[in-house]
Amino acid sequence: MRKLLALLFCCFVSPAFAQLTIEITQGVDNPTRIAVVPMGWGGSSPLPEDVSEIVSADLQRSGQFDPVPRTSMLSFPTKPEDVFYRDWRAMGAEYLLVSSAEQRGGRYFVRYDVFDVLAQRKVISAGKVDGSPEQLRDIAHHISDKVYEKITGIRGAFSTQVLYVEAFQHEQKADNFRLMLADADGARSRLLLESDQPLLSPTWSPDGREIAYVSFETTRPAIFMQNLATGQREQLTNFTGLNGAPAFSPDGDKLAMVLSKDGNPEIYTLDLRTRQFTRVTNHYAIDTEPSWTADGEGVVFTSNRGGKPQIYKVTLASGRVERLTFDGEYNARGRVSKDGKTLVMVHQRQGVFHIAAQDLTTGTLRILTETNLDESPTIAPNGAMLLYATRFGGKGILAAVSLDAGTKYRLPSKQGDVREPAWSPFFN
Amino acid sequence: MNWRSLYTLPVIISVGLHLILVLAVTIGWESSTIDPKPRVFKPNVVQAKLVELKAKDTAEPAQKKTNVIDLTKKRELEQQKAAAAKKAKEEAARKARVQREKKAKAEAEAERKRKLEEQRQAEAEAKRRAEKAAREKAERERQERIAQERLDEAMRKEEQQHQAELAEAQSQSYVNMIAARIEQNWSRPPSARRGMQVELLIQLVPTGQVVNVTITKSSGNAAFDRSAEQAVRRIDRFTELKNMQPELFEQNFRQLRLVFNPKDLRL
Amino acid sequence: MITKAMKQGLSFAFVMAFLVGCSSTDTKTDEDAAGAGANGGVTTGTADGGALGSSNGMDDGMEELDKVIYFDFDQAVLLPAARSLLLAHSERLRNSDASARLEGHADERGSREYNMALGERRANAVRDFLVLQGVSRSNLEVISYGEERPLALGSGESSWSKNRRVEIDY
Repeated sequence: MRKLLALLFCCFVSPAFAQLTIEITQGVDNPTRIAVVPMGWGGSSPLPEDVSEIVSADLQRSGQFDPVPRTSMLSFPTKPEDVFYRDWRAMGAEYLLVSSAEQRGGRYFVRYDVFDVLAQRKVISAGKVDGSPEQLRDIAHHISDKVYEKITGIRGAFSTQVLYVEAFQHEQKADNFRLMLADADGARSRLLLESDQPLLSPTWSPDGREIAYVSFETTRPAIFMQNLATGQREQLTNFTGLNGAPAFSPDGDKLAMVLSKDGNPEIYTLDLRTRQFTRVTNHYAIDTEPSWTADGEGVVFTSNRGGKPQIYKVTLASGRVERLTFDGEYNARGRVSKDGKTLVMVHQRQGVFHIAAQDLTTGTLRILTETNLDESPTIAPNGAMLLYATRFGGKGILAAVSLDAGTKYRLPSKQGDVREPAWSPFFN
Repeated sequence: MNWRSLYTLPVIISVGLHLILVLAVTIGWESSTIDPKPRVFKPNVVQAKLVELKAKDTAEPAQKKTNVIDLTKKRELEQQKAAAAKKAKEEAARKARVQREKKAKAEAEAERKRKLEEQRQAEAEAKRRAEKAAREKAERERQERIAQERLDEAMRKEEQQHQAELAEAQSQSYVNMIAARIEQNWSRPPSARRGMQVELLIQLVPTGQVVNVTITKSSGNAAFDRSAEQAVRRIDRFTELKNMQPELFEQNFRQLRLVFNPKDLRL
Repeated sequence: MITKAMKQGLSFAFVMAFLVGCSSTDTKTDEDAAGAGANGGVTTGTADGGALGSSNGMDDGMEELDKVIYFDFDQAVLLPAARSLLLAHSERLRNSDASARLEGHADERGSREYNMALGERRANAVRDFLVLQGVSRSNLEVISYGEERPLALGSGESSWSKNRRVEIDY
């Protein structure tokens, strides 16, 4: 018996020096710890903007980074040769951003280096950016973009902008509506248009040069297009009934919209060159809130043709309509992500209005926000975050949430009710 | 069985017989001594028996012959002395005495010789028996040793197998520990997607310290690759390995291939 | 056979459901159509600045009518409670030949452009009722403000129920 066993065992003797392979199938996905060292600056007066602080705030807001507080830093190197990896490793930094600025001929010239502290090597070597004193924030966002892209593998969207409407409404006072433009972080807001009549549904052309919106300035709703650089504006529609929800096609040639000139709210497209209107939907129910599919071949829209508002998609070539949402009794204002994989929308659950994201391949719906009265989701051009409007402290505010719902933040509060954000495309 | 107790008796007997033999030789016996040496190491039992028979044949006829010669001589002398009895009486008596003495002497000699021969034979027999016993014992021991060796070999292999299994089990538990450590430290970038795969080769020293990390097969996403490398570099030292048996470490853990293949990502 | 019967049954159920769904407005329309017929209809007339005139007319010792019609959430169907008020308005509008502006509104819940359409639906429901009562369609202007002009600020059903409305302005 023993011999038999011994014989059997002989067959199983493991070969020596086998290469062990270990498979890693899970992770934790913590924010990346990055130390953004204050920018080196030899000027007599401090820089008008704390560029490093802006970079640090950008990265933190993305949810992908956990910047090391300045107070924890042991040293403030401004040149690569001053970097001691061990110091940064000791405080848990995985990456280190070192930069310095100098002023020549009224312009700031910034050099920056990014180090992989753990591997002890540079990942961005001698990055350079320059700009006028007014562009220091742009310089900061540019650096944020580069760092973000290098470390996350996703293009940064810190240099983008946001359109939104700010409203001042009192029960006893006249309304005041303002169409505003601000940096993606909410800073440097500026007024584009002011009216005592409602302004709503601002939207960007794909090249970021034009915007379109709805204004009641004629006492009735009308769609306007406005060039951001020149301020020149044009009224595109003046139909009886609804003139709303403009949306530029991905190629910028067309504008989808809702018109009720034929009795019912229907989706139309306007060819911006020929000025030809084409009716897309034809249903006695409400069809509204058009938004283009990523490939530009279809339009998603809200319709209550099934009794409750749900999101549908119409293929422009065939006119075929299919319903996209089935979860819940209220799904509206769909926006398709640039990669065409995700549909974000206003979704009601148990009487509460959230922003939800639906995976268009699997159909799975996830609620992204925990706030109430959430509306107007708008996806960042890099697809990582979305902005939406909600109410906080009795006021309308803008908030952001990552598409994986992992990160949430609020944009700085404004005086009035802030609503209807529209995230710009990339500008270059 | 104790080797010493087995050999003590034969050795004592053997040494004793040898001593007697040496004594016999020193007092003038020069009979054909049997060289014991060629026999001792002859393992063949049959041959040893033949030798034994030969030794008997040569010894006995010689003894009979002497007896026959002595008897005829005695008869002839008695016939001659009947004619000249008186003179011959004394002579005869003397001769008889001499003869008797001679005979006695011869008999004594023969007896001595016989005894010696017996002794020698007994000695040879004892020696042969001892040798045989020793041979048999050696053979038995050899067989036992072979069996023991086989058993030992089997047990050694079994043990080896057991060790290998143990090593494998240990390896597996170390692998699990390493994998868990890495998974706790692997922070994927948001661009990571299911289906991405990066392979790393890491080199360790017995303290568990990572001394080298190389990307051997990229995922095509630099940020994803770096996240895997950083997971290992962040750990820096797999302290769990410091108590590992050196052979196990050398065999399996000096160099590890890590395959990062996220299965828990939503996208 | 079974499937065919089931299909027929289902289609019938669908048709019935559709009819029932429309019935609340349809029944009113039928009644009102009869009433409108009895009144002999109203000729189309133009009245630029008629809105100002009608506003003056209301001061002529007439009892001031409530100008707001309320609706349920995500509904553009007239509630029974609005009927008598609308009948009173239609009578005045018929007699004064004034132009009226029907402003549809929604509460803040849900998306803005959908609410804009919903407001228009509500105003249309009021307009259709008035037209069936003999008010000239051309004297009625419909405009929706969606949720952009709430009557009551604040979040909560007390505010929302005030804001889901059509304002009749003449």
